[in-house]
Amino acid sequence: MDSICIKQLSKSFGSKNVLNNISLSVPEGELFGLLGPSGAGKTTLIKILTGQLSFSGFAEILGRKCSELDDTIFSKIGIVTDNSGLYERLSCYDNLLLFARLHNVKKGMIFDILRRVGLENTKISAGKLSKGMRQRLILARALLHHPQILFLDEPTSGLDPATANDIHSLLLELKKEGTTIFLTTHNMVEAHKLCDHVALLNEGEIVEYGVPDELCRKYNEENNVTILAKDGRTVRLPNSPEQAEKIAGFFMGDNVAAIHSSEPNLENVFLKLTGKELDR
Amino acid sequence: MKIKNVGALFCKQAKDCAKNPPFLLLFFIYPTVALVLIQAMKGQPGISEVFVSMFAVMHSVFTPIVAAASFIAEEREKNTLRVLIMSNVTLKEYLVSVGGFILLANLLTGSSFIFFGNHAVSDSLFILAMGGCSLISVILGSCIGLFSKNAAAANGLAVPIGILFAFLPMLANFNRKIETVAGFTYGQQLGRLLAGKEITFCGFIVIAANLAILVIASAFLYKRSLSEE
Repeated sequence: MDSICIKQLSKSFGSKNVLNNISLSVPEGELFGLLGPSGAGKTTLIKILTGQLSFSGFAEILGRKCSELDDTIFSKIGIVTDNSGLYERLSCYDNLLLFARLHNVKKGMIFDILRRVGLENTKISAGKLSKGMRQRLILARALLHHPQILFLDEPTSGLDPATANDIHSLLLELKKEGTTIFLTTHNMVEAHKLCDHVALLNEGEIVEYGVPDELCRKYNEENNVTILAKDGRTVRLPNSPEQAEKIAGFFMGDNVAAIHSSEPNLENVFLKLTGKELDR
Repeated sequence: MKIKNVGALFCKQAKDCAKNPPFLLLFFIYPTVALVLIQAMKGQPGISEVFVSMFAVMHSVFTPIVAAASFIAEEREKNTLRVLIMSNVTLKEYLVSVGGFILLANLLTGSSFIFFGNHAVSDSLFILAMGGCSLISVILGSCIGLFSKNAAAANGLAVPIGILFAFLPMLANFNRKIETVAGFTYGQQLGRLLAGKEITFCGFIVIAANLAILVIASAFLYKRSLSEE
């Protein structure tokens, strides 16, 4: 069963088309990545799916139309966006306590969830948290009521690698537990590492959709081997059986300082499809 | 409306307010100033009656306007209101909890005026009049909070409006023209009541008209905010 289903969805602000005829579906329990540069329409799509914006076309989550979301659906989804506010003067615990009461979650769960996201100091006020810790707290709030779908809008943007890695591990854990995760990012490495399927969004249109590895293979036209010889030469050869003897020659002559195959990645796929590089 | 949600938000407001000294000060400033002035001018006949009624009006008008506007606008600015709405809280529940908290805090601190000296009306009428005035002020403050995009804009509007409504009754004591203008505000009518004067039929009409205008404005702004959030 699909947790998220979108068909021919469009959205414009005034005369500007932000999303154009988008169709995609996310099966239950999948970690789906929506990739694209800033301004591609990723956040707009999350806002539409969570009932915050009107649109034309068809979109539903958990079998309910996105234009008709109500309490029952809101209690089954969690949202993490860069502008998800926190109560700055309240402690991490008190921030979660409010939402625990609203969602009928037992108070004991608050400590569990804070521990899970790596926030041990529960008494510190949210205003004193670093960016990474704030993001962990927002994530904890989104997870507090065990949502069936988790919407994450660039959850690791601007975070240090260690914090980003912790969040990645948590997301993979959640996926194992059966949570459907809808992730937007412009970090291709993150998408490749985490996502079951990705859609590449450019100027409001999905330009490619598929499994990250398959997409990389599909668009990996270079397929070269680069040899850095000990005598200082750099030799690039096609990665084909015909070149096997030449490559072996470098090894037999003990002339290989380093050897690299051209690794396909989503960044190159995006570049190939749109002629644009993604933001870093 | 879910009482559970209102209760949870009420507790949050109380904790948040307790950790916000400038905001907390707002609820104590007028009772403190009144107490200091009454003590400073102790012995002068009738002075406590004047100060008690004057500062009670200021407290009931100014404090709820600024508090409600500031609370609501901050919540909108920081996007926490949107997060609440996506957590099954309705805007109505939110406004009731904020308004209820401010009303209670204002009445609790305002009731201290009763102990500062003589007043022209009974204690229960004093509290009732302050409560009614605070309620109208909360609605006015909510309108400003819902209208403003952020806390700075809300304070920029709430403070002058609060001063206008709170200080007009005091200034009316010194100037006939101001008294005529002030007569059209609910604060002046409350001031008359607390000073032991009778509220005329026209006075009731003024209070009802003030309330009606603010309820209509708040309904309009409520609908607008609902679509925005």
